[in-house]
Amino acid sequence: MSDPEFIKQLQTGNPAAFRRLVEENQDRIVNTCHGFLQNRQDAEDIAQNVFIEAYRSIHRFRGDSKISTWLYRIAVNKSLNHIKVQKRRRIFHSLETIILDNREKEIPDVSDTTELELEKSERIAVLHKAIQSLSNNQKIAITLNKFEELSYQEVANIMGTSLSAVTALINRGKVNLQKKISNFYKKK
Amino acid sequence: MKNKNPNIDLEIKQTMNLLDNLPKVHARYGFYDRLHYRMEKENTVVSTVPATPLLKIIRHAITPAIVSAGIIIGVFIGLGVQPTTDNASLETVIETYGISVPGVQNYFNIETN
Repeated sequence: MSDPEFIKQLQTGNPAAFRRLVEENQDRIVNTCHGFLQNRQDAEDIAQNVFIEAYRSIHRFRGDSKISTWLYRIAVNKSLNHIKVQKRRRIFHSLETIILDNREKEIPDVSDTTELELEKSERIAVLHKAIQSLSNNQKIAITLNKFEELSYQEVANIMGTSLSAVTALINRGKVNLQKKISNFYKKK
Repeated sequence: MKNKNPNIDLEIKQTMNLLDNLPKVHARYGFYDRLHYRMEKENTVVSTVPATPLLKIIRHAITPAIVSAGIIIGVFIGLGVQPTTDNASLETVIETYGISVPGVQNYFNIETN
């Protein structure tokens, strides 16, 4: 449960309370958004949207769960929405590049990276791609559990589902991930 | 599910192991300041206090009045009707219609001959 006095301060628009809310939760929200989006800048932008949304709708927060749980819920929704919008944009963008052939490729700076680090970051990229291709519920459960290291119960609270449902989602998600990763390396 | 190629098994295992050891991303320095700047820029100054039923009734009552006033002003402007209070116009009216209202004259400080 959240501190009722703190919630009251937030609901009356106390700037110091809002600052505290942001500073206490910014890392976990940015990390969660990054788990879904895999882009640092997008993750920060969406995390900012999360706090703006929280500021606007704090009066609707009833205090029957932790405030961080409520923020995670907003972060999950905003991140999934962003992915949806990006997918739509990507379709138009790819059509545009087919016509104009002026795709700007992001070249990572690997000058100071050792081979081991490079391998690791490549594996992480493969893992992310596989997670992104999971069903929404599996994606949410795995992202919150693995990127944010939240317990199954906390994930269940955020997703508004039961502990057994989350356990099943994560187990099925891991099996699917293994299959997708296996397919990737076989094709390579 | 074993693959014929042991290298693939190793790759899968190593990749799956990373799932329990993912690097954490932190908010960049000055996150709150950037957020605050953005909120000010976007003018996110909204009421965090929910509207009470009385406030809602007042809002609902005032909104049509404001809209009606806007429409009336719009019609006046459209028809070229301009409200006027200048002395010359009042004198013209008084002279044309032969009316003389001392109260009105005093109110507008009109000096008549």
